[in-house]
Amino acid sequence: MNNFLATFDTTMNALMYPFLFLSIYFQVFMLSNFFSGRHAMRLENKFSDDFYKNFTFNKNDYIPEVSFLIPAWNESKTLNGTIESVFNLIYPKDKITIYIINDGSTDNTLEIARSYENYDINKNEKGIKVIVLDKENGGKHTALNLALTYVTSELVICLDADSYVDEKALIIATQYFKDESVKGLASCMQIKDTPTWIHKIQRIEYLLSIFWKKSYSNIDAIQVVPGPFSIFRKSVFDELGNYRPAHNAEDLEMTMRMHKHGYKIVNAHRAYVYTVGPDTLKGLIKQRVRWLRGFLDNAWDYREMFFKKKYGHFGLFTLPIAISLIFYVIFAITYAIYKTIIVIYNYYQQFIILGFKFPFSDWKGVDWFYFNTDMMLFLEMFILTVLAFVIFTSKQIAKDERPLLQHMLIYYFLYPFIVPIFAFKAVFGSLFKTKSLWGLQDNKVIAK
Amino acid sequence: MKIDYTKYLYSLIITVAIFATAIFASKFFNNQRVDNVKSIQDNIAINILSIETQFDLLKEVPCSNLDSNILSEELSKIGERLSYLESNRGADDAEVIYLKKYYSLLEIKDYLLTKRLSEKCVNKKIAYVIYIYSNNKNCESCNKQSLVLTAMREKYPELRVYSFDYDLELSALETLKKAYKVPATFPIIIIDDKVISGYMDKDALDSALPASIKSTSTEKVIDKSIKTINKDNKAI
Repeated sequence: MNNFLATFDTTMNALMYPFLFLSIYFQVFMLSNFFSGRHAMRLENKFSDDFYKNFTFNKNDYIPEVSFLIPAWNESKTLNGTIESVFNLIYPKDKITIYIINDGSTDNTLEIARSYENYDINKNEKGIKVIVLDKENGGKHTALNLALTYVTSELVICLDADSYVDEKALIIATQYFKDESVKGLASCMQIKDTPTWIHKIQRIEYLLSIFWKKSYSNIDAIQVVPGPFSIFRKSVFDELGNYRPAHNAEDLEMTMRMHKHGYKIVNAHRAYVYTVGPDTLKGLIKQRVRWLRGFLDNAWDYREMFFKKKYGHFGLFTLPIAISLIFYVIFAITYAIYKTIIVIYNYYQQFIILGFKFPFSDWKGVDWFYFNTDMMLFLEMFILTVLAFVIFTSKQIAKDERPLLQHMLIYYFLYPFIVPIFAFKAVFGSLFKTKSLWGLQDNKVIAK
Repeated sequence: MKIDYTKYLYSLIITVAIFATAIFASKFFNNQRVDNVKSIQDNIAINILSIETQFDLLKEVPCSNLDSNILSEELSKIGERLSYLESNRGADDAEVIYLKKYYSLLEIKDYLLTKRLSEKCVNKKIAYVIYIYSNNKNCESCNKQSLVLTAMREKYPELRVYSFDYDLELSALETLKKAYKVPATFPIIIIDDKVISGYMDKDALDSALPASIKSTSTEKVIDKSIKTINKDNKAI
């Protein structure tokens, strides 16, 4: 048994080094991408928040008509807030149309939506047209496609019914479309509130995503234009077709489809949108399984793009590195958990033989000789340091004033135990094509 | 967007540089550790030689002048450091094997010196245990035995524990094995020239130790027969 464990340990140790190399390579590459676009970021950051808040629209300004598509399934708790946030946008009201699509809700989502349908452009200060569409439950992509049949505006904005846009988000985001080559835009997503440790973990995840998205955007290789506040030219749907079922990850699939056709996607790092994340561990795992499995299944559908230079950095880098890092994370965390079990087992053996001893009862002081100076530790410290830098930088970009240290510690120490659960489930489900589950709400599941 | 391949190349160069730095740093600190152990071993070798020379130069040296306790602490320190090096660098590492051989020789020298001291000075009688383990022969109890011996050393600070790797290719160790007719079943403990093979738990090992060591125990013994007398000379 000892020989088996020794061989297993040596093998796992040896395999860690290529994965560590890959992980550090990813970080170095992404850092270089981020800094290569710092000049453009500085130019955009020159315009203060007050500039946008006091923005007066002139006839010659580029102010395209936009249509918000808000699909909703049992979103009675959050729909009000979402719609009100659109009403509060700094943007000419007559240029905005909202489509709320009730996807067979069983709560009073439809009634809430209908209450907004009574707004009359001429009769009240809001002046925004709200159209409610009601349909049988069929999934998010069917709700979006139904609304697309009515849209006539230049830009289409998808907004989840549990997300809230910042008042400046639209005016900032639409300016990117002055460049006619821009076909799609990803915003700056953040978690809204962090009352529980689950939310704190998600906050750090979203902060990391802000940095990575900007880096990818600088090489036109954004990995996903996520549902909450994603903007597309209407022509994209006319040319490439509407949303597809896409393994419950229609936003991922649309992004891949756009890259396949060479459509430019950018990132508006100051177009803030705040989303409500799952508030239970079960809900978080379900959501992550859906995302990860959605990526794996769609990546398989678009496998011809891997390592092909005609698909740009998205094919050469984004897709391959994402698959590699998924397996690295599974491997690394499994190895870390195995090592933790060995340490616990050794302490248990010591307890059985020697009885209980207070920790540090035989501590003889700090002895540098026993400091761990293994090569792997240096590399892991480098990775964690870069992650900390990324999180801190994203906090500045997002203008997130909330304290960081406690959330980072929770993320560093607790999230590694959650990742293998959803990673294994997603990989297993994708490999063996198990039944896919949709987990918008942690207490409700619709089997597809 | 046109692909800039130099990005990939520069990132690769930087990543290789980071790896090289980590390798260099790790090797540097490992070499520092090895040098540290070598230095301590050299000091011990000099001390042993010094005490042996004292024996030879002065036939009738008073027992009070002979004190090799310091060697026991130094040897124990090296033993802990060698275990750490072995677990980090592997039992097959050439440097580790070299240091283990040096350490084993020093242990044998100290063992012989201890025997001479015990024979010469009755009040300097020192209790010792010889422990033989194996890394190659699938000894699952060896780790447990090491823990028990460590606990015994903590309980009896004056107890000497000489530990040897059975598979170490050292002629002096081969002679020791032959002298005690050591079998190939592990772990092996030798107390008072008696060879015991197989795992011994805390209680078994404690009762096998010589009586002379028991008085040096660090564990407190509460004597319930002692009565407390108050100011009126009455027992409380």
